[in-house]
Amino acid sequence: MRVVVADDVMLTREGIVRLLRDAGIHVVGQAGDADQLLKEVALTKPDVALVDIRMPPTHTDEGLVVAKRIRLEHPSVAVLVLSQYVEPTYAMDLIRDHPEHVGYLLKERVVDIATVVDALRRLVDGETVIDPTLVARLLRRQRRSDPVATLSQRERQVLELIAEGLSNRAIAERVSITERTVEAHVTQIFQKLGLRDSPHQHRRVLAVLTFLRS
Amino acid sequence: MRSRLSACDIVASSDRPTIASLHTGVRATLASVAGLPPRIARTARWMAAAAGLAVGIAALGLLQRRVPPVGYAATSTIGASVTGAAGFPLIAAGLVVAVAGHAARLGDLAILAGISWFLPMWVGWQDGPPLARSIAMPLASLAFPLLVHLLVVFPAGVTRTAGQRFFVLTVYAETILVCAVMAAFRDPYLDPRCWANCTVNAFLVWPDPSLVRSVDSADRVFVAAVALVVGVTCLARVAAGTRPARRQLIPVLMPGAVFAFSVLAKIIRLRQTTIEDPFEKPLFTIFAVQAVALALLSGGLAWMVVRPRLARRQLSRILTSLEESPHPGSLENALGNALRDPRLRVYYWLPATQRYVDPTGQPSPEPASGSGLALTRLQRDGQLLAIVSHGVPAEELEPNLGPAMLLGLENERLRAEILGHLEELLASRARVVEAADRERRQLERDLHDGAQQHLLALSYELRIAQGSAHTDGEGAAEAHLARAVDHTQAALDELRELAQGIYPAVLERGGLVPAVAALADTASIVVEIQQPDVPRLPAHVEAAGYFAVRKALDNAIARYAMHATLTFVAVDGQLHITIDDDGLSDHANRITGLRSAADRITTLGGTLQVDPTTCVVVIPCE
Repeated sequence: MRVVVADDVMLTREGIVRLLRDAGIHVVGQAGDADQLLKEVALTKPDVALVDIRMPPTHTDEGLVVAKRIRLEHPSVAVLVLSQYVEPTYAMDLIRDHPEHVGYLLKERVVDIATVVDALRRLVDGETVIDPTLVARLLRRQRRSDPVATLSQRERQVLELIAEGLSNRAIAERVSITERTVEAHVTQIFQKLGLRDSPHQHRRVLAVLTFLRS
Repeated sequence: MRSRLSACDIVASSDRPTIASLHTGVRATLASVAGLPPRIARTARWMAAAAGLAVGIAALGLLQRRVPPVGYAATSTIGASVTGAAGFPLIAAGLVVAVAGHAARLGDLAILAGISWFLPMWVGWQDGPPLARSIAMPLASLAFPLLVHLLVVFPAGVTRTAGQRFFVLTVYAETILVCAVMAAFRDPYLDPRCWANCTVNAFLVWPDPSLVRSVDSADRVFVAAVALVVGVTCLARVAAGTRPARRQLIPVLMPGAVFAFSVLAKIIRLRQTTIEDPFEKPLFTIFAVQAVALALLSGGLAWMVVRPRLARRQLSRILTSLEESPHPGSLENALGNALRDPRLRVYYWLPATQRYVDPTGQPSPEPASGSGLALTRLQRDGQLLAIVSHGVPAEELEPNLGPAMLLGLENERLRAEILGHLEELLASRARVVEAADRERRQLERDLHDGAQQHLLALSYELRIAQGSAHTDGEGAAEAHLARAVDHTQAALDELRELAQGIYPAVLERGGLVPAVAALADTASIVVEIQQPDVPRLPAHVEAAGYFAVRKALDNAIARYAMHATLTFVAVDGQLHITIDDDGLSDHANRITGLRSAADRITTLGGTLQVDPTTCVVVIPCE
């Protein structure tokens, strides 16, 4: 796998590069700001671009903007947005228009290199990736007459993985059950939550996240 | 009306207008014109007025004689009445004006003109002593230059430009010159043009009719020209004046113009009928018009003195009605209304801060007199209180006003000062809040870019070291490093929460609603957000709203609420946030808990309404 890493803080960027290389990922380019990243992506055509959300000049959400741009201009390149914030707004904004091949992870997550490699692979496959911490926080949210509370433990587990962007097959692998069982669980969950199941696995991520947030 | 005969004594005095004088009283009055000490001038003035009165009464008394004097006054009762109606008011108005003090010269000139106005009757006194008649002739001809002088220097009382001085001096000089020539060379017996005094000239040197004739004609032309100039100038001054100035000029300048044009008319008429016959209808009509004009002019002069007093009385009346509930600027309005000057402005002087402010407390530059605007300094106990800029001429506003007026002014000044301070205070509070927010944002950014990055890098390094230890089979080291990584993660977590608490980064970029949604995510109670479709608002508004919501939620949790509802509405340029919770009622807790939010909101000019379980925040969005 070939990736490009963009972060304006060299210390962090180099740390991430080292961790990736250590895990066997081929880092083909680095960038310090959005323009440089676009150039690198155009040049090297990586499988995934890792982008820090906070970059110059305003240091707010340039990463989001360039992520969407990369998806538009280079549809074959997946984008993983790295953030220091657990900010559902940014995540949902990211996957709203084009949920395939995009992901939102916390920078701390990079330490958990196995998760990151897995996430990268899923992104290349066309899935969506949402950081588990973010999903956990949303699930923990206090809700009045909480339908989530009506889910069984297994169903809740499945719901969590749906929100993280895993496909049914990936869920089956993670939880060690068959794909068919997963499908059944999904139908049940969506019924209990009152959500319409979407054949597109990507759309359902947004649906679940939106539900969890409301 | 001019008649010419007799020699005139010429009294020269530096550059002042020269006037013939024989009467001691008259001379003393004239000395006041030349600038004698006020006390002597005052006495002289009263004496002159008394003398004038005597002259006038005597003149009218002459009418009762068996052989009445030749002149307009003797033609009929109308003639006598208008003569008196012009002369006595002139003297009376002149006295009033001179005593009132503003422009004493005007008063003096009027008194003298009034005396001069009566003198033709002495001239026409058929069996009067020749010396008296001969003296009265030149004095009578002074009426015209005196009135011209008066009209030129009205309303100030002094000539302003060199041109004016030259003009007035020329008129006087011409009169005196003609008087001298007439006195020396005219034998009234031989002069067909003579009409009033056809018998005697006590000053005759030797008769020269042709010289007299040509001088007389030239004199008529000159007088006509001067009369035309004066009439036109009076009208022009009225036309060019501002409204308040016109109100002051019209009562004197309009009758003055009428008088000037009637002099012109008479001269034109005299060209047609060389002999001046007072019984002739047109000439008599012209005389009557002159007299009426002079009567009106006297009225105008008196009005000049009376009007400011009336205005002042009206002012104090307005002042007493102001005590009730004055608002800033009401005194300014009252003054402007009383003086009928819409452009009047009051600038209060604040000695503490050494600057001028308007009635609402706004600082203003030092007022400058400009086009048609005069400045009057208002003082109390010698201290400057305010400067008034106004369109009416300065004589209307006196620097030392009555105590009621000053008190009212002082009040308004205090109010203006306080209002100014208030504005500064509000501005300074807003700056403090803004500075605090800026620092919070900066702190958050520093945490993010500084400590968090280091911790991240640390965690990466530890992880790599852990990987190394694993590869090298150092189980113990690996275990330690794994724990180290966990600790670092925990530290990062806490740091992130801390930064979020200081200033949520999404507030700046995403806005109020995402920031509040993040609050709702991590709240320990159920938080529902309703109608979250508010648009982006100015940063300080969103920050105030966010921190208010946060405080309100904290307070709800502290009162053991289980559930809170947030409603956002942006309408009519205002942001309305309602925070409803089901916690316990605890008033004291409520107040203290929401105080900082309240402070921030009121700084922006908003309101915070607190009920036991509901809190409504209204913030204006500029």
